[in-house]
Parts: sequence; C-alpha cells; structure tokens
Amino acid sequence: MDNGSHKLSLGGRLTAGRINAAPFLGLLAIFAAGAALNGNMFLSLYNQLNVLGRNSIIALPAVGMTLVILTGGIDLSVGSMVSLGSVITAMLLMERGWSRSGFLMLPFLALITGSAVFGLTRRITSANHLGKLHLPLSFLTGAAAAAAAGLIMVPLIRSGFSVPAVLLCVPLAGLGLGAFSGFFIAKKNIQPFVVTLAMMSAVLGLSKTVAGSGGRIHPIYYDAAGTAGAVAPAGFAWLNSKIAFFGTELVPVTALFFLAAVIAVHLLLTRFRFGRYVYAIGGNEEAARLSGVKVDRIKIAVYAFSGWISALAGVLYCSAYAQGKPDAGANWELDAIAAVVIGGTSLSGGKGSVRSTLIGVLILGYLGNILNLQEVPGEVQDILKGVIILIAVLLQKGGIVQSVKKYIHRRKGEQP
Amino acid sequence: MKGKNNHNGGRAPHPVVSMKQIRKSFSGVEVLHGVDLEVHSGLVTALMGENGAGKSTLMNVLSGVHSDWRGTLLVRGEASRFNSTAAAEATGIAMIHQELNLVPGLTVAENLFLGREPIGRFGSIDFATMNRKARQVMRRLQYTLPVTTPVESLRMGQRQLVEIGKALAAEAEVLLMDEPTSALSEREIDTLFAVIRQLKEESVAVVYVSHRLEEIYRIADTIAVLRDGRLVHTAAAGSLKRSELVRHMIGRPQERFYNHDEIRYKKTVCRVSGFGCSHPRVARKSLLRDISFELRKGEILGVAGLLGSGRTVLLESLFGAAPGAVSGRVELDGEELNIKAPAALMSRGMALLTEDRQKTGLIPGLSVRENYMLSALIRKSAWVPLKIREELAAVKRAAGDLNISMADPQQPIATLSGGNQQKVLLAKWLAISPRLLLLDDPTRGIDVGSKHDIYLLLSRLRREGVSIIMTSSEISELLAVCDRILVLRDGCAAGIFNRTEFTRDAILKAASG
Repeated sequence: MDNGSHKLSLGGRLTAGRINAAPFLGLLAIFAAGAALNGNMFLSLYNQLNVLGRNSIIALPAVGMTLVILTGGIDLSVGSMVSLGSVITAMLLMERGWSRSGFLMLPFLALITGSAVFGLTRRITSANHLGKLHLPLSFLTGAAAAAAAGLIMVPLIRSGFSVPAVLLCVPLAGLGLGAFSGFFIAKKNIQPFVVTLAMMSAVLGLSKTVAGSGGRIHPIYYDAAGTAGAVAPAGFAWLNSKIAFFGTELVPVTALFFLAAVIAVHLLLTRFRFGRYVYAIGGNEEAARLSGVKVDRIKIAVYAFSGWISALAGVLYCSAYAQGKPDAGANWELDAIAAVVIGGTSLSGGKGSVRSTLIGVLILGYLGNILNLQEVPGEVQDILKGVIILIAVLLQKGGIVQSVKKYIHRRKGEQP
Repeated sequence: MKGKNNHNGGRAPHPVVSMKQIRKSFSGVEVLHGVDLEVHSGLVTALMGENGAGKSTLMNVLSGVHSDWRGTLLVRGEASRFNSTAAAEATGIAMIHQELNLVPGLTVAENLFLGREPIGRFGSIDFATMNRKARQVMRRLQYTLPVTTPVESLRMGQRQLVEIGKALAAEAEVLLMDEPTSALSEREIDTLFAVIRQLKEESVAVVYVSHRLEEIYRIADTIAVLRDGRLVHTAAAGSLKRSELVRHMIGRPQERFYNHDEIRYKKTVCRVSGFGCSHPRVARKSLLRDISFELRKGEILGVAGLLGSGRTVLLESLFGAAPGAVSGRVELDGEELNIKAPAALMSRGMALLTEDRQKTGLIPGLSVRENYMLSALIRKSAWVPLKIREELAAVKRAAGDLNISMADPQQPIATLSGGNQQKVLLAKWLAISPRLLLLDDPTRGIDVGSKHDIYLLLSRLRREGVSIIMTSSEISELLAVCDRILVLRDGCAAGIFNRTEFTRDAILKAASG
C-alpha cells in the first residue's frame, strides 16, 4: 500500500463530512467583512493578535467544553470555575497567612494529591499480585502524599504563593470539582445538565464565600504604595503581557496558553486512545461500553479536564484584570457552548473537533472586534451574537441549502 | 377506504402504483439506475435484493422520504411526487418501518390516531369516538386486546399490528412493509400473514421487502428482484424457483452451507452452571433461571427460543452487560469468571457481537477503521500515540479476509451496507483473537452473500478452535451451523439437542412449550 492512500483530498474530506465546510466559510466571510469595513485597521498584525489575546481567556473553557460535548454531555459550571479560580488566585497571591482561600485549598489539594497517589499505587500494586496487601499499602502512600502536600502548602500560604505555585494549584481545584461532577454523571447516571447546573450554583456560592463579605473584589497590587503592604510577584503581570519580537510587543501570553491547549487537545483527540474513546462514547455509549471502553473513567476525566482548564482561565483572568472576583466568568459557559456549536461540533456528541472550536472562537472574536471598531454598543453586539449562533447552526444542518432544493423540487413536482 | 378506489374489482387492469425509470442519486452517486415497478391492488409484491441493491431507496421514493429523484411515479394514473411521508399517506401510501414508529407511553388508540385525533366539543380529544374507531380498525387485524392498552406493554408482534393499524386508520391503500418479520416469533409471523391475506381480500396493495426466502414464497404473488440499483427480474411467485431467485439476487449461483465435520478438539473450554439473571425492576422475577451447559473447544452452541425467551439476555449476561444482577458460576479454562465489566471479560478472551447493530454495535460517526479498531484499543497503551498506518493496514487485511467491500477504510461506517457493517463488527472482535465468541443473531437483516461469508467464517473459526455461542431468529440457520442447540423458554432451559437429534419441529416444540 502506498503511504498516502488513506489521505482524502480536501474536496473529498469536505464532501465526506470530515471537515464541516460551513463554519470555515463563515470565518472567511466574517474576516472578509472585517477587512471591507475597517480595512488596514482590522487586518493589521497588531489587531489580529489582539483579537486572539483578548479572546484567549474566555476560549480556554471552550476547549474543555469541546471534550465534554463530544462525549454527549454539557458543562454549565465552567463560568463558576473561572470565578472561583480568579478569587483563589488573587487571595493566595495577596494574602499573607491564613485566609479563607488557604483554609479551602490546603485540605482540598491534600485530598486531591492523596487520592491521586492512592489510585496510582493501587493500580501498580494490584497488577503485581500483592494480594490483600495492596489496599492498605495504597492507603498508606495516599495518606503520606496528602500529608506531604499539606506540609508543602503551609509555608506557601504563610508567605504568599509564587506564580508557578498558583498555576499548579488553582487549576487542580477546578480538576477536583470537575471530577466530582463527573462522578455523579458517570456513576450515578444523572444528566450532565442537572449535575453541572447544581455545580454552577454551588461553586459560585463557594467563590463568594471564599471572597468574603458578600463576594468582594480582591485586587492585585504590584507596588506597595497605597496598600497594606503585601504585593503580588511581578511575574504574575507577565501572564497578561505580550512577548516582544523585533522590538515590538506582539504575541499575548494568554494566546500561547490557548493555542497550547488547542494543540494538546487536538493531538489527544486524533492521536491517542483517549480521544478515540471520547468520540466513541459520544457516538454510541452502549456500543463503546460493550467494546471494552471504560466509559465512567473517560467521562470523569473530561469533566475534570473542563474544570481544570476553566480554573486555569480564572488564573489568567486574575492577571488580565488585576483582580479576583466572584463576578469573573459570569455567563462564560454560554460563550463556551456558543463557540463549540458555531464551530460545528454536534451537541448530541460524537461529531466535531477542537479545530472547529478554534474556528468558533475566532468567529465570535472577530465579530466582537469588528463591531467594536464600528462602535456598535455592547447590547446590540449580544443580539447579533444570538443571530450568528442561529445562522451557524442553520447552515450546518444544510438548512438553507436544503430548503432551496426542496422548493425547487416542489415546483418541478407541480408540473412533471 | 373502499369508496375512494373504484376501479379495482379483483385483479385491476391498471396498477395502483406505477414507477417508470426511477433514478435517484446520493451526493452525485446514482444508486437507482432507472427502475420500473408496478404495484397492483389486492396483490403482494415482494421486493427482493441484497443489501445495497436499492430496495430501501426505492421504498423511500415511493413513501415520500426522498423527493429529489428523476423518472415518473404514477399513483392511480396520476403523476405524483411526494415531498413528505405525510403527503404520501394522504394519497394512500403508507410505509411500515423495520424499527416501529410508535410512542410507547400512549395507548393503542392514541397511537393509531396520533396527529389525527377526532376532536369533540370545546376542542378536546373525543376519546369515545377515537377508541371506537380504533377498535374497528384493530378488529380487522385480529387484534383482541383492549385498544386502551399502552403500547409499551405489548409484545413485538402486537406492536407490528398496531403499526399496520395506523396505516389502515389513515385509509392506506398501498402498504410498504420493510422487513416486517425481523422481530417476530414464528407464531406472530403466522398471524401477520393471515392479516396480509385479509388485506389482500380488501384490495389493499402490499409491497413486501424481506431477506427471508421462505416467507416470500408463503406470502408473495409477484416477486421483483433488484440488484445494484436495477430491476433484474420480475415473475409470478409460483413460477420462480428458489435457486433461480437467489441467482438473480446475488448474480451467481449460491453454494449451500452445512457444517458437517466433527469437532476436532476434546477439551472443555467453558462451564456454565446455575446461571441466572434477575429482572432489573421487578423483584422476585428473573429473566434467566438456572441455565447450565458446557462448551468444548471449537464447538458451536446454538441458542434457540422465541423473542423474549432470554436468548439475548443469556449472551449479554455472560459478557457482563446484563440488564439485572447475575447469579451462578461461569468457568473459562477452569478458572471462575468474575462477570462484571465487558473490559475484564475481553481480557480473558471473550467477545460479544450484539443483536442490534445500530443500537449497540456501530459508532455511526466514526470511520470503518475507527470502528474496527475500537475493541483492540484496550490492548494499546494510553500514553503512546496510535499508529494510524498500522490500523489502516490491519483494516485492509481484515477486509480482504472477510470479503468486506468498501471504498476506503476512512469512510464513515454508516455508508456501508448492512452486511458489510456486520462483517466489520465481526472483524473488530476477531482483532482481539477471542477464544469464546458470543454471537447474537449474527446474520440479522443482512443479504444472502454476506450471510454466506459469515457462515464460512464461523466454520473456519470452529476449525481453529474458537468456541462459539450463537443465537439466531432463523431456526434453519442454527440447524445448518451449530453442533448443539440449547432451547430457551421463558428464561429457562427447555432442552439441549445434539446434531443427531436436530429437527425443526423438535426445536420449535421445545421453544413454544
């Protein structure tokens, strides 16, 4: 067999339904509209990268949402995860000593680390036929790991977190909460909509509780003037900066996070067993289970990932707006779902890709950018966003094309 | 319905439906190349052909599912083109689908008049009139239960009658039946055929699509054979020999299949004792009780029984996919199995080809390659990238082995014909080299050619020492293929027959008690 025989031509892939043409054409159309309306201002590299940078944070939950939707689920709690992530980040960076976020994170992370180590040891030792010994052994290592994680965190909480520590720990909180949703969805068979709706409310409440005094804003300060004295590490501002090329600050760091996430998930979906299982579960869950797919594990994993990446978006939000607040990420679940749907991923699961989500994010991003350049007020932008979502879905169903065809045939049928 | 159609006293000179040079393409590929078909009132026209021959497409043209075809469709001499199934029904043409379209929670009467409910005063549904009319319709179909029974509590055969009743309630004069017997027991088939004969008396035209030759000869007046989108032969049922019919369908003479040789191996592979499965909702009721049998290496054990006798439950339970809690003991190679999850049983060398290809077999959105690889992935590492090129080579090898015809391993599996889909699913399980293969009606709804390929494969696996437990809705198939047959009745073993004791009658008798 020749090597390239499995590769269909672009035309073949479009007609075979592997690439959904409509979202791509939609992106081209909106790009052309931007160029026509605003010319060089729109097309400039600065503006292009700016669009990417501005939308990267809100796009991160959409990457997690893609995985969830591909399994046939939905995650309504991503906005609340962003909120919690931003609040915890701000507090861990700015507080010195025990605050509510410290009290939350210490046992939580100890628990996550402990159970991860417990699970890992159990898998390793049970494969080695250690008999009944493997369970107490796993408990022991798990408990040790939990204690170690707790001990490591104590000085961090006392002296304020570093940037790498925040980037590591805060998303783990989202991971744990996401896994919790996943557990109820997979093991208890409750609809994802219901579980994540409950999670959305509970996590937002948690975020407000942690923030304290009815959900107050926690600002980030980089210099001591006018504050109680504590400042955030300067490196935290870097997350909201642009990397300089040829002497100009060009590439937003947030965009790098987003693109890295897209590439990683793309590889996961197309090249690894996990991805194949995700599509299989979304396509036909029962058939997947009967083919030996451990459906529960995969489902828990996708919700955990969705929580993880949303909390990561919370960290970046905190850097971008120099504050952590419970309002962060409000309604972001809707934007994430919109981006996934506009990209062409099917809400019933099994069909779509993270490339499509990238296209969906860009369509929404360009739309906002063009309307901003045209000085269209925000509320009108929301109306237009709604219209775009409907048109996108209609186009993907072949709705417009089909109705035209049907009309023609009906006319033909009248005079055969 | 009589008043509408006046010109057919007995055998009508003019056909009620006449299709001329029907052509239909899907995204540029023509699948019907100018088909002529005439349907007469009071006659059963059997439409035969392998899967992919174009039978369903032709029926969909006639029933209004497709509207973008070329050619001429005359209904009672008038040129017609239906834009929807509702439009076809308004003209008196109704399709009865293989998968029944009934609302389980509604009563028989409510289903019959769904969307056409008689309205009483104040705009509410006139239940009295509706139930009375429903009783009239269902009486014609020899249906005796109350019409206020919810459909979900009916047996398969009764549901089929409700589906036919729905068409009659809409005053259909042409009934299109697509594989109507695929889920029916022998007795239910008899009832259905009596109903069809009755409908013939009432000048209803029936187009009957089926793979089962025996049925066709019992019920059809005219046989039309489609092959590769062309009408290759039309004849009166009485004048067409069975072998000739098969030759027209597959385009070559059929080889008869029998599994005659002795089992080569002596070793007992699998021991099942006191095996049972409880009902998922009703306590104290069980779906399967006290089943015991042994299986030798390289033996094919058939499981016979009517629909609902527990055939499928037995296979699913053995594979850890039971609807309820399982009990009893199952040994594989002398070691007791912990029947919990399919994944664990797969690692012990078990595989299950499920009965319902669409519902529990295929992943429709994935390609042939991805479907084929799905089971074997369990042996791959989660952390190493999958090697697509190796997968492609493996699919192509399997396709050659099992005679699977496909254009490209990357095409969506939904685009293959039923027979080829089934062979891909079989190949998917062979990819994990099972020692105990559970096959739930492996030839269900597939064409003669593919059936033959599967029989050949079974006999090869048997020689290679794979043990097989299979069910079938066709007893003749079990007689031809199996070494022993276990008969189930109401979830209990009603007898186990050796090859020397095989007769159709003995098995039917054991199955129906």
